[in-house]
Amino acid sequence: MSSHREAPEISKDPVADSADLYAFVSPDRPDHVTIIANYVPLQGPDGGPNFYEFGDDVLYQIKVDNTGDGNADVTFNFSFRSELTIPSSFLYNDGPIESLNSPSWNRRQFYSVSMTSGGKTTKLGTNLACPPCNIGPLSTPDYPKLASEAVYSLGSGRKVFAGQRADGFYVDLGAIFDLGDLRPLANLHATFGLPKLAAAKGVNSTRYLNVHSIAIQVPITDLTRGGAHPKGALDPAATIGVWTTASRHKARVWDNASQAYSDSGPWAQISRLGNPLINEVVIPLGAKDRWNRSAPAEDSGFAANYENPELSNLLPILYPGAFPNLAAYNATKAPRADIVAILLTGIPTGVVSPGFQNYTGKVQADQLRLNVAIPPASKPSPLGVVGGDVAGFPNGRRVFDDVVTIELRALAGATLPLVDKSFKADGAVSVVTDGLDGSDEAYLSVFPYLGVPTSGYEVRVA
Amino acid sequence: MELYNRRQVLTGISAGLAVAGVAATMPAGSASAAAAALVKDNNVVKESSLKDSPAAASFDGTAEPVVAYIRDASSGEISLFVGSREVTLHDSSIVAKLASAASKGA
Repeated sequence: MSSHREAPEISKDPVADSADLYAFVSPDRPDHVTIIANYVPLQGPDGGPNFYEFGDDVLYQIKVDNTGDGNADVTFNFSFRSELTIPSSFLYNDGPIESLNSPSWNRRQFYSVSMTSGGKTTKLGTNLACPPCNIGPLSTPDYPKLASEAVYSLGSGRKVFAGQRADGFYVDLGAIFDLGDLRPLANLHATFGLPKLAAAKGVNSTRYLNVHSIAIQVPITDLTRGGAHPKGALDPAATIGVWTTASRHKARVWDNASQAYSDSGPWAQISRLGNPLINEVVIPLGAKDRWNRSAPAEDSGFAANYENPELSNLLPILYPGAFPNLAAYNATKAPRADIVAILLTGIPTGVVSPGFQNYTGKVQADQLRLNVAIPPASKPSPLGVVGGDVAGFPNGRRVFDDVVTIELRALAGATLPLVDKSFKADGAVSVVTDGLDGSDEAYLSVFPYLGVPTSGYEVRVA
Repeated sequence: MELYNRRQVLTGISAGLAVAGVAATMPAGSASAAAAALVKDNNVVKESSLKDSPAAASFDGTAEPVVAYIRDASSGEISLFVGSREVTLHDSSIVAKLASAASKGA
């Protein structure tokens, strides 16, 4: 998945597991950027009585590089705390929760948010309430209203929300991890000598599952170099690089006296996410935990995985005869400069179109790069730049972008002609997909954009 | 950035290495005094924390736990975790005493 349970260690620590990251110029406030970092992936909505929440012992951060050196220039810090209002009850709530201060709501969570910029940390909000999880029609009878109460204005045009959302990411996990048998192309799969599979539509593995989102909307000038408003899309200061991290204190001891864990030591990063699917399918299993603990500025050490992606080498083997041009290119062992540019440095001016760039310089760093001077598309394509819409991935990422298909096609060779005019993409590239044309969950047209989470009562049987 | 495996820190065990870990709660003043004494008699090699973390180390008079972590007793190195800080010392004598105590407790 984008980054759900993508590495051995973090798969055992869901509250610190960064699952998806979005960054886009807000369609309804184009002078503001929205960044959403999702954690606690794959929530079964009926998983009570201890429903999902952020980790009180985890430091969540959203980081922005606006100087191209791979290091954070602006950081948003989020810390959470939980409390019980009815500790004698086993219930999450003992009556309908109709407001954020409902006396029926037992297990609550609050958070603080601050911004570090120019070496100075500024508190933006404290004791902000997360909404409850969406339990069902009796417990959370008007969930959209309840959640909207948890959207806070922080002043200076900033907004924040932290709480449960429908997972907007869509992917056919069952097919991809069954040796890459993409259902629409299953009839072309090698199947390792086993009976042939029939072609079929994809199955959305995240359907009806929820996540916990940290969403913040800030003026563009909060994020750009020197606080400047870029003059245009070709202004070098127009592109920012975004990633999210989760950190824990280095030491933890169970303290019998307080019947609680005691954490100490500096924060140690244990999860990070910039571009989608990188630690999922680009970084090998033996390096995934190290990647999660490293910083984007150190990503040149992982460049070989981007230059010769394992999945690009596998596609001609899994689908014999479907990708002859890719197979021939792979045989040359030439590095995939297109993949390196898209994911590690950004795309220079003129490569995609004369008026587009999201290049941050030579420093290789896995960041979600967003040119903030490119306005939202009036008719967005879920295929983003590959679909002719430069306001979408890999220029930032919107909640509906089909990043699985975009990256599959790029790895299959769709973007290679951008840097090697002699290469002709295989005909099969245009039909490579996991067979999903969008999430089944409705997105919102306003902040925080990700849809209302599925309630536990309403959870469907697949 | 430190690249300790968090699970190794939590368990206090690293494969193939002699390890001893202790945790103690002491008044902050005592912790500071103890650390200062160690600094005086030994070499403090580093003190680290995430520079962009909003949680600063505090010695504001409240009791704070101190966790000691020895990854490799033969190195004579001991890490102290307190608040949001890590103080690393080289003190073969202390490390040997802790390693000995740990082995006796095994």
